[in-house]
Amino acid sequence: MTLVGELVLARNQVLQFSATQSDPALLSATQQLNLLTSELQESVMKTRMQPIGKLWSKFPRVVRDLAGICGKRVRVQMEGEDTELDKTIIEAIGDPLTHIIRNAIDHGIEEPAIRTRRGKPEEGKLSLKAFHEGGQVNIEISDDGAGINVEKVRAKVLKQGLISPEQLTRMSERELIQLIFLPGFSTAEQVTSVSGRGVGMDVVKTNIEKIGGSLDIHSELGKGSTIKIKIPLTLAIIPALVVTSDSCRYAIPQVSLLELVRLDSEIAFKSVENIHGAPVYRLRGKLLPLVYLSSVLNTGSAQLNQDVASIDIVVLQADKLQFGLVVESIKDTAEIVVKPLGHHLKSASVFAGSTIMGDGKVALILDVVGLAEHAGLASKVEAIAASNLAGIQNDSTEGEKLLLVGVGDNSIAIHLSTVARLEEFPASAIESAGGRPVVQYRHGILPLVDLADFTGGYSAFSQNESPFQVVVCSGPHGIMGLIVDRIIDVVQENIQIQLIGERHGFIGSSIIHNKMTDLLDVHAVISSIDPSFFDEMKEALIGGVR
Amino acid sequence: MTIAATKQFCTFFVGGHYFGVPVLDVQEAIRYQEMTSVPLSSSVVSGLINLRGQIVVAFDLRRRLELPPRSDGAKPMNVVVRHLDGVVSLLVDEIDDVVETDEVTFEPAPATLKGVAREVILGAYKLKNRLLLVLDIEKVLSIEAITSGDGDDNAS
Repeated sequence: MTLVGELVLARNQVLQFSATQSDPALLSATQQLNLLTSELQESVMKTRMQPIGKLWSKFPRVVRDLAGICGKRVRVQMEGEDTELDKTIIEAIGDPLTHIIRNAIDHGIEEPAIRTRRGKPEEGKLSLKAFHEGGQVNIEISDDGAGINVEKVRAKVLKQGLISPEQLTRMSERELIQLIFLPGFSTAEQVTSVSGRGVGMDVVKTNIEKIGGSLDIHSELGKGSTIKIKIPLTLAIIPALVVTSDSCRYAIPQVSLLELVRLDSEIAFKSVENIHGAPVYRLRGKLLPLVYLSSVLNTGSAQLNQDVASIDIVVLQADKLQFGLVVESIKDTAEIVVKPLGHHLKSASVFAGSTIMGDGKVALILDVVGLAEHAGLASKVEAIAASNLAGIQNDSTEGEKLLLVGVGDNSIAIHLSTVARLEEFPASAIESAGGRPVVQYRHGILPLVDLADFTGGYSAFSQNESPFQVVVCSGPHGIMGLIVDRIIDVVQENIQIQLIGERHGFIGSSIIHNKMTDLLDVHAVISSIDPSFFDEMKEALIGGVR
Repeated sequence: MTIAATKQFCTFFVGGHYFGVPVLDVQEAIRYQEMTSVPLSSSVVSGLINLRGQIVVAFDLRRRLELPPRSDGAKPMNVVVRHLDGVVSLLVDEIDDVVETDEVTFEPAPATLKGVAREVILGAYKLKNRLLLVLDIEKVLSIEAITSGDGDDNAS
């Protein structure tokens, strides 16, 4: 396996070298090499894949034995046993999983008598679930037991002196639950043969993190707890994004990557705002905390230079948290082979490992979770949330996302889910087909609808020579462009729709941002065009080709 | 007691001093390699080098021994030594030779040695024209001593 990794690295080096050469024979040979290596890599990976059920098959017995010792009744449920994982990972998660299960039975599930008193079935339920999601394997272990008693955790942590009382008072419930991952922590009243020795969840956590996974725990008092583990499919070769900061290269594993945002210089300084010194960026109406890679790594200027042409933001997901990492430049994606850092660099939590790049130099792999922790992001996010409460609307976590556009004097809201893109066309781009205005769009024809026809207002579009805004919507028959005068904003809000008269093309009206706003019924608008319109279009197109 | 009468040392210069490490601990000695610096790490860690596909941490002996930094443009050389279950590289000014020493000429470090030198220098062999200072690799690379240097100055 490591050999295949090395081969991939060597291939990357050859590829990079051959890109600078113009010998066609060499190029075709390297392409062949590239292909073969990829295939070999794939098949080696495949042979190493094993279903997780193989590991799980021993758990029912572990559970039964343990339940017997503790005098409890537990039923095990398994789901997704055939989820496949790399052999090394299966081996690595065996012990942590067993430990979690022991914990769940010993601390989680109550004695039958207590359970009946609490109105639960006598038999406790322990469920194991595994599934693939976004290049990762998720394993969920949940029980319907007592859950984690936050107060107990708090008291215990205080007693054991693991954390100062001042720190403790500032912690949220969620953070308190995370305390069970502290080394030396144990809530068990007495040490039994099963658990309570304080060598517990921290070991589980470090073991999971060692293989590049993450661990998350949810618990509800009296209802049970769920532990979610996310682990990579394979350890050896991972796709990564290569970025630079102060001319050093870093690799970011693609599993934690959400999107890339590039801000050009003019808007960059306007759109990066500050909340008590914490830079944030409004990403589709939500505040995204920004972290400057160079300042986290302490390698260069902490603040943004005015003369930078543009800002590249890498939007990352660390556990539950999203944040934007501002990097100097984004280079490329690459398949990298993770090599562990030496003993002397173990303490650097910001790095997950290192790898060798195509040119033979070493690059460090960023650990996204460690990076967020190092940047003190958790506390910053709280600060942002607090200042949100003070001023701007904060209850926008739920609700519908709406695109606000202006047509004449009216403002109209369109469900963001129906919006495919926003485009701008010059007035000269409008052509006519089948008696309707259309524009050429992505090698196809985009029929246009002037929203002013629906609002009954007067649109500036028909005579104006200036470029016009088009909201591209996807409908049942294809895509369609809605001509609007201006794009106002994207909002996320709980709207209360009131019907004010029945008008064709609108669901109703609501007040958004203190302004009367009509909610557009996109499907009605699209079907208001003769449904056969698109067929005609097709025929017209075919006819034209003939 | 049958102690070998002679011992072999790989010798090198760091900041004008003549040091040696047991030759059996040394895997190889190589020229200057390009390094990737590691932000946020101890100042003793110079960076990572690619040693034929293996990533090796390079430690600057000058920093470890608290000697003044190398003059600009002077490229250090690597003495790759085995340590724990891997290899690490020690950056030295110049590699000298493999020297055979006589056990009788060894003398432990004098009590007047201070600070870091006392920690890492086992003793000296009195060679004809100079002293060969023997480094204790375990101590030089002790993780506690190196990580305690964290955040000294991470400018790289």
